[in-house]
Amino acid sequence: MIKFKNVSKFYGPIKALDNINFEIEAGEMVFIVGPSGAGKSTLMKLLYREERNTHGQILINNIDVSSLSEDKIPYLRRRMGIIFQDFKLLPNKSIFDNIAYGLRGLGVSEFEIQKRVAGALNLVGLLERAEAFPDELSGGEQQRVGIARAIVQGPPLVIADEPTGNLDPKTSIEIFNLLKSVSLRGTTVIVSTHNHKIVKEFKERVLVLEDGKLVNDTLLSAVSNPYA
Amino acid sequence: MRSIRIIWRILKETYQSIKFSGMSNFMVISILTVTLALFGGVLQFNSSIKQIYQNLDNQLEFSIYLIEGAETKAIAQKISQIEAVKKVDIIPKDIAWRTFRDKFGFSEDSSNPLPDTLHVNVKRAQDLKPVIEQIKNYSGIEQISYAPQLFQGLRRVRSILFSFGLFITLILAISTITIISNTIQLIVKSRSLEIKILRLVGVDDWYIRGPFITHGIFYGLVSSLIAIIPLLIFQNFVWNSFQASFKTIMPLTFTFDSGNELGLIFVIMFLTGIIVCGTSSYMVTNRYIKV
Repeated sequence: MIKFKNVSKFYGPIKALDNINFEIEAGEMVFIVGPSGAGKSTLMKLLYREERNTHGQILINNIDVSSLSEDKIPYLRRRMGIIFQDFKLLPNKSIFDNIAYGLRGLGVSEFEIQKRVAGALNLVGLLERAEAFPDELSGGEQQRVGIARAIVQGPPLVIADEPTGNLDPKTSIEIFNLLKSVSLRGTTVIVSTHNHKIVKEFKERVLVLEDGKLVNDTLLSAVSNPYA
Repeated sequence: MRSIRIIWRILKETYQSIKFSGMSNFMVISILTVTLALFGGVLQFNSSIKQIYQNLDNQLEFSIYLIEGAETKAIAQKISQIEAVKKVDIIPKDIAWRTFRDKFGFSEDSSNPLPDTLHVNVKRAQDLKPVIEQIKNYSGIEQISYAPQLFQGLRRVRSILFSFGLFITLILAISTITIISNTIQLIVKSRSLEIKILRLVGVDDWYIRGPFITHGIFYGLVSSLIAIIPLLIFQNFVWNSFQASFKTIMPLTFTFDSGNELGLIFVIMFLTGIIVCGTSSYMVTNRYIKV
């Protein structure tokens, strides 16, 4: 489903990613780990074309993302859900409206929106809090809203960029479990994190980035923990 | 159906954007209204003066003031024999003085300074100048008065005022565009999170930019409608009284018809407001909203 072929990204003279090569199959759950500045967020941004790679090819379903024209980018993004470390919820909108906001922009009917948002909120266990506002929720609950917003369109790919960066370890495990359940429904899930300890508890594939280079690509059960 | 839903939601977002702008709306609309009213005023002024010229150029009549003791009837007879002349009326100085005295309230004891006057009508407007050229050297004639001659100076005044008006309008327009751009830019920046979410969900570019552009168009629409009010007041009160006064001092009979272009001026103002504001907003969104 996703293929990185000799991908590099430069910011001026600074090399953020250096000759990255890997493939991810549909339905896989993959963690991308590494310390701050390793290139995790850059790699994520290349996937949803927030940034453009300097060299190489990024293929999603055999479409080269890096060569997509600007008018095609919205179509790419409709096929993925994105989760952020800082949740990016609109403070003046209810939980329901936060999730519905993008759907309204896509021209989905109100009936369909009701159905889809309720389904997504049910999946993350927040159906009862639909009318609450973000500042009435805990950090973990806010991130669950972020996950609901990411999956509400039923995308084949979910990208979570440091989704537990602002959360305590217990809540982080809950969030990872939730992402795991999303993956079990057939969605490809890519999660970046610097929290190697928590990732260790999940028997999933892990890509380790260091100074912009991919230094390890294996199942966690077989990889050493350089950040422990 | 999807398109209608999206358009409706863009309008709702526009309303939110206007509501969010608060007092900035008042400031932008005030300045834009002044600019558009001035622009419309310059057009209206130009149109009115142009109409005067057209009316004057179409006049078929001119006046001849004779010197004291001239052979009034003989001169009138001679002029009436010219092919292009339709008729010649003699206005004896006593009758002219009585009319003048009554109109301006002079006492009956005042001495009569007016000469005998001839009102000459030509058959076609283009005959006016050749006939005047032909008779201006006749003996007994002190002065010939015709409308275009009276308003030669007005042409220069019109030209200067028109250029000056356009210049001021241009300066105000630049200031207005800057203010509109800054206002829209502030709204774009304050809604950056919403814009980012929409972008990353894959919403079409025009849906994201749309509310900001329609917000700009709203400014143009409202301002141009308000700017029409002072022009209507000017047209119905100031200009109409000017016409009435003007007719009393004119030696000729002609009609004003300056209201015909008013509708066109309103359309120009309306379109200018909408296009300028819409374009300014579009340029701001182009600069600050990236895919």
